[in-house]
Amino acid sequence: MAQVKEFFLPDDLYYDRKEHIWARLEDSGVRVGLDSFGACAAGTVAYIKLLPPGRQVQKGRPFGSMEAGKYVGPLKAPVSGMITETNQEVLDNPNLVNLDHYGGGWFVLMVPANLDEDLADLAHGEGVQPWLEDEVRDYEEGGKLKKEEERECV
Amino acid sequence: MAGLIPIRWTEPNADHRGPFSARQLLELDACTRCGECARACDSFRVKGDEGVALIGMIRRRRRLFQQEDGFLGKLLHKDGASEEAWREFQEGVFSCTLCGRCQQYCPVGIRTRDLAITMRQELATARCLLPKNLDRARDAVREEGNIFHFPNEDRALWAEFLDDIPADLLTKERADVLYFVGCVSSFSPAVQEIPQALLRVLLKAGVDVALLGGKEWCCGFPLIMGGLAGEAQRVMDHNIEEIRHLGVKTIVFNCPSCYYTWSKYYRLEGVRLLHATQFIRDLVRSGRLKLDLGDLPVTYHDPCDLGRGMGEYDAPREVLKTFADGNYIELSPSRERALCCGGGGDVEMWDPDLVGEINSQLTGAVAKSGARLVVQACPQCKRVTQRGLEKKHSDIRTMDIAEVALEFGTFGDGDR
Repeated sequence: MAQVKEFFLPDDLYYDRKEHIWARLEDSGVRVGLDSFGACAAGTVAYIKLLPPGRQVQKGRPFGSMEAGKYVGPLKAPVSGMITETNQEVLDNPNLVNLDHYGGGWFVLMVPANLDEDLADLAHGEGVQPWLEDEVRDYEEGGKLKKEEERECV
Repeated sequence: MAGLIPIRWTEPNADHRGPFSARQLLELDACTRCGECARACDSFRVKGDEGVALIGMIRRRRRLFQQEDGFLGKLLHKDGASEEAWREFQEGVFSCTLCGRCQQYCPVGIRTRDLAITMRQELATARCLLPKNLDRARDAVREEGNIFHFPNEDRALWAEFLDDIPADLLTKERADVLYFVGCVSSFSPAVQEIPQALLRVLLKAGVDVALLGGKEWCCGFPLIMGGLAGEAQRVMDHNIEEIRHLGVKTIVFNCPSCYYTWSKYYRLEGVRLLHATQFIRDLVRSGRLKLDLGDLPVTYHDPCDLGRGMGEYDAPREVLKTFADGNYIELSPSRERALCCGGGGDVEMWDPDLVGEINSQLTGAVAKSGARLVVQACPQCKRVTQRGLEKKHSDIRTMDIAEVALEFGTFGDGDR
């Protein structure tokens, strides 16, 4: 398991490096959720909307949206395919995303359409630890946030 | 459509007056320090700092004028006002929700909201004192066309949740009516039921409606309110260009802030602008919509930009009173003196706790009214109030007027 400070990313999952969405391969399809780093960076999740079962979603396109303390935005599919199940528990209690990232906090189950190709650019195995280290360093240094002295005045 | 005249903003003056107009300079002098604005200010009630109410903003700005340019200032403060003094002024000015409630109380008629916006413009442009996250919202609008930095191509994601909408809604080349959705309704999953409901109401009413989807950009309101009016011109020009292509005769808004901005700043000619409350009122008047509210005690909260901003108080009341069968309860205070929901003035970007505390006063008033349903007409009001009611574990329901029309309404041909 990759771990940096309080953030941990299980080895068996695949991770979208930009969105911090995880994908778990299961017999019934690909289960999708938000990793512990993404959940922490977003803040307490307050509202989630998910496209209903039966909808086709392309990799990189939204399968829903999420509103949290520090984030309002789309949830993007790590693989292409059809949504076969949405997690009613997380819709009723969005905070599960923060409390149980890899368990009860999952979003959707998908039947993948192009799995091998879609998995190719996701972080997995040995590549996860150095990627997580970079992400945590960037986060702590505020690399993605403009520092006050760098702000542009109009 | 040839008559569309986009306005041009006057850049802040290079001289010592900043962007203040002659009237506003008089207003700065005219304040008698009676304190009525502070007594009306929901932000002041929470923070207890006079600087968040107009009385304190004016006092601090006057002092800055003196320190920067006054005779005594030149004698005693050769280097002008301190950075700390400007920061103190900034903190107060950007803690105002710009709800405009104080304007109803000011005995000398100061246009309080406009004055506070100008103060923000001065701070944001001439002094480069933007509060936390406002620069990020500005960058988001520049890069994506919306304040959330959400990929704008997914602006109509809320509509993808609906199974029964016409396939050409986003691709129409001509339409009678444009539904301009706005950023909060488009992107916040907390309130996406509002555009979903209003779209269904429009379709049930047989309206030839189009959506701009990813071609819709922020209306400019959050930038103008943040003191970044110059930045707003680009998005306004873009939106005008888009509606030119569609040739629409009417634009319908569910967001009062979008409606306010289009009405006050876009200066369109030949295009009718309608808020959802007015559109639904017209459906009721023509007999095409009937509501069955049963015996549900219902109240209505006036959004600042629809009520105090646009003077529209009666349309939603007409809809609700027609069908509430005596169960309509007027919130106290209401109309011109309605309480602030806390969600305005971009304050949520830098002080979300203040927003929640201001909203607590509104949810308290709703609870006191005895209503079981509070009808709202603004996505940001609903978003904040819904969260406030949840926090209090209240079972009072909040719904937008479009949701009310859809859930309790029966649509017919009426007398059209």
